[in-house]
Amino acid sequence: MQNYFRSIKFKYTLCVLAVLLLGLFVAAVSSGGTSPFSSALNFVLSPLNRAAEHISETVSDFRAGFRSSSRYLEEIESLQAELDEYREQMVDYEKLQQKLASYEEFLGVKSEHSDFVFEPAAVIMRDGMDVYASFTINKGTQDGIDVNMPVIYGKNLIGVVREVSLTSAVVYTVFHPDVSVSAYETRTREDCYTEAQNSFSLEGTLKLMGLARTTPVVAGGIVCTSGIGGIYPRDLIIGTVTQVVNSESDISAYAVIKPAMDPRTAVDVFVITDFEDKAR
Amino acid sequence: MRTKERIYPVFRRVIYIALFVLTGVVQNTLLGMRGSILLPLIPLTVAVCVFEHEYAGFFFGLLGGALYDLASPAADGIYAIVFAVLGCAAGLVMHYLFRGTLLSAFLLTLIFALCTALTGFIFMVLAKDRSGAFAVFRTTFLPGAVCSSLLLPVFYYPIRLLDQKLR
Repeated sequence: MQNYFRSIKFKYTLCVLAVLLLGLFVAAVSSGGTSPFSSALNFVLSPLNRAAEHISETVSDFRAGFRSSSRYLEEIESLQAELDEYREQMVDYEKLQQKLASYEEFLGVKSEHSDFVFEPAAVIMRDGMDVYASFTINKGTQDGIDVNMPVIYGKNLIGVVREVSLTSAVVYTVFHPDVSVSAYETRTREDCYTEAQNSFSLEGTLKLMGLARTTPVVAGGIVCTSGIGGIYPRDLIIGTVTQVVNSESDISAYAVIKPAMDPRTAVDVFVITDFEDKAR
Repeated sequence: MRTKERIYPVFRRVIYIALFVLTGVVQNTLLGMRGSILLPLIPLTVAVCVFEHEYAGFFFGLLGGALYDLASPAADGIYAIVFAVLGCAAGLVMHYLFRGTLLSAFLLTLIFALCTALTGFIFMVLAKDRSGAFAVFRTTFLPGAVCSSLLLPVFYYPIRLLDQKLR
């Protein structure tokens, strides 16, 4: 083993390690948050990831179709071919319906906020170990995506872009401790802000902080973005209050909110690249 | 005979690279999108390092870690460094201390997976928020590391066969 540590191979290994550490440092100080090495690898592998995503969708479609065809087969075997055709049409129809629902919500937002500029994106990668449900989308700087751009599904805020490379971007969801959104409760108009904590993120909820102990906010209240800070536009839905709890450490209270749209299930999202009151 | 000796190692490593890319894509998309905590890149890296030893192990570890980094929101490039160092260490241990059996490879995979989980835990969770961090480790990272280690035979036997045929 000593021979290895004295060998030229070990010195090469150390050199590569030094380059990697330098890359890590570059990533940490760069505004995009990605190292040149990762960006290059991401660029090279992006077609492969998209292919895998397509295969994944096909497998899901096949499973959905297989269930329905087996049910029909038991009833009328002679109509197998016809049923297969109908089944394929149904799968396409359901996919279209989902897409339509997404675009209908998008249209609603667009008609209410004509100043919003959108970029549609698809979720292509996730780290299963990430309790905060962060994900990677298939749009990057070449599509006009930049850090701190809000990501939505319909009228619901999902998260914010935190790292961006040429062809992809990493989105931190509202469950991430680095994401805090200034908000207000729609009925009482009380100003507050969201805060994500591990124990809440595990349960798919987040905290609504800054409420007075005498707060009129009650369960069922809808919480929206207030637009303060200029990162998130006003009136995007964050979630619904499930309970209000008095703080044990001070005289304030906090509410537990459940996001209207679970970021873990997001497949197609929209990035708001520009809006009227955006901080420049 | 000499041509075989020259071509076979290259051919074998090209297959390994393809296997890494395929496994990386499966882990980041097919498994990751479904919220699976399995990380098949870990047993694959150890299985390759067991037969390729320290120097090649370092570079295969680097590749495996870089592929994991693509989907991970942890500090960019951290898994590439961790996988490379652990891959090199696994290769050294298998070369000089252990015999390349499934049991020793499994022990190494478990240590490798726990180190990876601990890295992810420190950079993704502990660095952001300490409250409830242990619950996250207990419910997500620890089961992920253990379950990923159990995937070792899926990679170990095909790679051993490949190593025997193409050495």
